Amino acid sequence: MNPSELLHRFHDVRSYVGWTDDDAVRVRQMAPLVKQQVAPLVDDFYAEIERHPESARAITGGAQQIRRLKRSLRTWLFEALECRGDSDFLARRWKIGLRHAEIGLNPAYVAAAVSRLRNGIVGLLAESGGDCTQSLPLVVQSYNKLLDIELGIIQSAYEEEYLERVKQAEHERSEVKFRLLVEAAACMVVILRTNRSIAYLSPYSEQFTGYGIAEIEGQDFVERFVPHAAQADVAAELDATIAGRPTEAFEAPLVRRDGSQRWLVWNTQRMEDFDGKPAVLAVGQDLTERRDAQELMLRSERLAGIGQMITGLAHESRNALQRIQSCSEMLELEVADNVEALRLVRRLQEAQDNLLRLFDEVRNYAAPIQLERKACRIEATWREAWGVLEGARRERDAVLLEQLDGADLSLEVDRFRMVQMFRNIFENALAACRDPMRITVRCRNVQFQQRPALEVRVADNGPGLSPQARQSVFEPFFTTKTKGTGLGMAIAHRIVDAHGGQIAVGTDWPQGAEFVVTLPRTVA
Amino acid sequence: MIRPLRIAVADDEPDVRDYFRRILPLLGHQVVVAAADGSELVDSCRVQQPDLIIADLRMPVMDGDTAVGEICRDRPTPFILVSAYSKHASIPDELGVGWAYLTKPIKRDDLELAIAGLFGGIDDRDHPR
Repeated sequence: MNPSELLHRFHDVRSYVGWTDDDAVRVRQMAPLVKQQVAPLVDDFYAEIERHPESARAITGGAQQIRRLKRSLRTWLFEALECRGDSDFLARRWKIGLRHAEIGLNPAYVAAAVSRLRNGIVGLLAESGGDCTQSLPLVVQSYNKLLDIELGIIQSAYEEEYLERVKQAEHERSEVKFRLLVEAAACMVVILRTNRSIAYLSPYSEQFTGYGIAEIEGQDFVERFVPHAAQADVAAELDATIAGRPTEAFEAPLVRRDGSQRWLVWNTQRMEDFDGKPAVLAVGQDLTERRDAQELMLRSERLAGIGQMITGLAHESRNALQRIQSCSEMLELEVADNVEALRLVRRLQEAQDNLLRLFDEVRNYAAPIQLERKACRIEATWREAWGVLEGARRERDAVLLEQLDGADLSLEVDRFRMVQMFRNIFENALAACRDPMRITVRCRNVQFQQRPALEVRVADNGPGLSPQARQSVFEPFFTTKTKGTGLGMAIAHRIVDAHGGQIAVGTDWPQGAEFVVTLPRTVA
Repeated sequence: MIRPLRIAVADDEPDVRDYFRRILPLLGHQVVVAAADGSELVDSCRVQQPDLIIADLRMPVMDGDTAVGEICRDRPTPFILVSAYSKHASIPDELGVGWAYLTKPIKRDDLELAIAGLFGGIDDRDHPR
């Protein structure tokens, strides 16, 4: 309580008990008599304390402390008899109250102790009845008022301090409970300031993200952790929470220190007091595996559906194709002398070949991928794929460039599938780029999901991918070409997936499209 | 150069049977059976005793793999099964003959290669590869 508040309370209490200047006169008049008996009063006071275990418990310093306390009590009584009301006087009274709270003395004993003093003083006054110039009852009344006012101030200080200590102890217990809960929780617990800056990360959060709080405290949570595409949505949710609307079950991606992305489901709510300021408490549960499993299941169902359809079509289509093939070969024999007719028959056969290729691509996409992994030099696979496309490159100015930078190019993969994957990527580039066409393959050693891996970047010098293409390039049947099934990159994605790796559109190749393939070196 | 072979063909499609009748002679061989189903193939092969059988895998009455199984139990004969992916071929291991598997649509070159694969390097000896 500040001095002016204390002074106000003191005068209010004085007014409440009806203290007047006359009371002061009466007290001062009898003060010399009372002062003479202060020593026995004080001795009696502490003797009584020692007879009661609960009050005696507050005195832990033995005889030395009791001597000090007796001196303080004498001083207190002498000052009280002066009937002062200034700020210094009141500040000392306040300290006495605080001190009683510090030593943990129950307030009942404070009141009882003052009552004992009161009885002692009243007894003295009664015995001195013949020394009063004022009526004894009035004198006794004035002394009672004096002691009541003193008790009021002391108790007031005691209660404030006591309550503060109880509140502090409760707060500390609550803090301990919070910390135990947070530290044991197997989910992210994050506290953000109202400007979205990071104020707290639980131990699990530090381990999960790969960042210690010391290095990212104060940074914007959204900028640090959320991929660019999701930043606006996440920021909006956090801002709504700061404004008082809690969030439940909000799913958002999070990028960890190692670059891997996880999906979490968040609950957020506003906290009114974290280190004295409002904040946002965000609790996030990792649901990446569940999402991946759901996606895989959906994809499998879709593929199974396509597979079933394809199987159903397979028999009839291939029989029909066989009849077309057979008849066109026989027709070729019939028109062997007719150049124009032969040309038409050949065009018929080319169309049939295209149809067959389309058919095989769809079948390849839908069929389960069974890998035969062996130790392999990855550069051999992309060189083989480039060789397979020699026919397609025959009349093109297309060059394959390699920047291997000392990367370790051995890993365990299905060689056939790797050739297929690179072939699909190269075919994509050949279709998109004009001459002179340059494909650059760059490699480096990386870590992927905490395992050694190889990153292979394949980039061309073509027009690059539109924003829609970047989003959809790995979707089946997505194509920007007038010909083709749109399955090449979807198949590449399935092959990389089957190897436990990742294929993504690159973001930092200056001109053209880039695909980044990351392959774990060995089977998990 | 492969010696001329006496070949039994079977397919439920007339166009395909015509094709075999037309193309196989151009490769130097003779078509001695052109069956429309597996049962007809078995009966005809019992009589004609061909050097090679080319059969569609899935046919009415009796499938091609069942038919060649029966034929080979009496007289082991090399065969080529032609499939449209409609079913997997069921070929016992103990048949003791060379055989090949082609997927439709097959071309003349495919036939030539498959036949060479089974009989290649043999002139007058009766030993398929």
